[in-house]
Amino acid sequence: MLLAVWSIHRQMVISRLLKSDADAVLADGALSMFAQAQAAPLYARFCRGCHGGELRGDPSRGIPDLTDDDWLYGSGRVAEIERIILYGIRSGSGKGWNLADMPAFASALPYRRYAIEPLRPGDIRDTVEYLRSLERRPADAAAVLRGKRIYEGGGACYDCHAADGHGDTAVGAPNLTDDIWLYGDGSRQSVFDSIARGHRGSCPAWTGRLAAWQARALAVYVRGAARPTRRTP
Amino acid sequence: MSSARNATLLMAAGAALGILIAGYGLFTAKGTVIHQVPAEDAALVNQRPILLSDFVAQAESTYAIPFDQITASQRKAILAAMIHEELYVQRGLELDFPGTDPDTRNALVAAVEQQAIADATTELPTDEVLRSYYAEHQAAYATEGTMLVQDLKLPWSSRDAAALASAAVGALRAGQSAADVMHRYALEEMRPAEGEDFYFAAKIHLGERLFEAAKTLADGEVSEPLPLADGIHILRMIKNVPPARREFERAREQVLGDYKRETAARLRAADEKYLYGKADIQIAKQLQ
Repeated sequence: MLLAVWSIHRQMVISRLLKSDADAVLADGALSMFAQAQAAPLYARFCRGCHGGELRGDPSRGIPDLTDDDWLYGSGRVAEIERIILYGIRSGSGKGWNLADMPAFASALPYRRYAIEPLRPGDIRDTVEYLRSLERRPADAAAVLRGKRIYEGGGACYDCHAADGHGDTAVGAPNLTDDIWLYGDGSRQSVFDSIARGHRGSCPAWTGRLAAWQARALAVYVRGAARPTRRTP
Repeated sequence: MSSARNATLLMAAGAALGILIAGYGLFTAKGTVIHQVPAEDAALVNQRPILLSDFVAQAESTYAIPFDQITASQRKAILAAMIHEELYVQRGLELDFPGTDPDTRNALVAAVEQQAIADATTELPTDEVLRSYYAEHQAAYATEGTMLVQDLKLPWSSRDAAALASAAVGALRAGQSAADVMHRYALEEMRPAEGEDFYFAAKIHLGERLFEAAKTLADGEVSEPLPLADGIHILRMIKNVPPARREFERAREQVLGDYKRETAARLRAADEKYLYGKADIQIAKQLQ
């Protein structure tokens, strides 16, 4: 009897979780607590392998830190996170995010979506200096000027990362002016590698493996873990 | 005697009733019908769900604002459009578009291929697996080589071209400036020594044969005369940085990508083998 009552109550809470506006769940203390408690084992099973036990990601694999409030796709709303959990990023699902990749400029055909010319090693070094100037880090002044021309011209970097380098969360293009690094450590070599070899990070689509309410609970859990991040400059 | 007959009659009547009920059930079965929309769905169209999460995403992408700012009438409009789409998809199946429409068929082929390799995208290999893959394919994980090389050419039209080319090589190797040697031996500069190239680009610019010769040259070295169809080429290597092994940590992302691609190819092949294995394919005699 008790088990039946518990089960019915649980179904009612799950139903409320699903019927609520996803972005309002965190503000509902009891619902948020329920979601986060249910999500913890799901996170351990489905997400920890990449994002780590502390949700801090892994820059050597381009796995984002989920504890900051720097969002590569969207603005960090629960509804947006839920969608990524369900349909992924470059996951092959038609409903997933898959609008752009980082071209590999040190290859004969840098980009598979449209034609971009390769860059020479010197061009990439100049672009790295320009990016350092955007982050207000020490950079070679002459190279910065040349790099700016590449950023705004042949490299077509502005197309995704925006003219001011602030990126575009509609296509998953990171902000290049802060000190948050999705790939590598922000060193010249690491940024050079990113431009030379490109990136195409992915997140699996868990729809079919997770029930709708589990995806929502996980999204609440991830959003709940994010903390305001101090950015430089 | 009479009770035995009654029992038989009752049994026969029971059997007949059972057959009637089963027959009715068989010919009028409609499957399980849900009369209430489940919590995760926005609507049911002929029992096919329209997911709430899809509805929210569709509404947000249509109006480009968060869902809580979308008005009730806008929500209704989006849901109506999604119901309309679902109805037409269902009608499309009734009309056998997958059997006749090329676009539908292409979309289905792509979706099934994607389904076959889904495990490759969701399963994350352990670090040990990746390291072992890296060890097996180490040659694939190298930095991009770069070179800064000058390509000089003596046209075949020059008198005694071979001897002149040898002399030019000797002069360059003796330390004379490239400008002087070019002037003295009337060499054409095919590739100026300005800015290094990645190996792949140098190969495109120089062509296969010259590139193969160039990549063996150390900094400051001058090649032997290289006779080609258009003349005799001389390569002066200013700086050559051959590809170097990339450590696992630096190559990890590429290793993971390659591993997943290989896994996906294996899954695709297995799926294809299974499909062909169970298929009954008959080919017209003249095409066999």
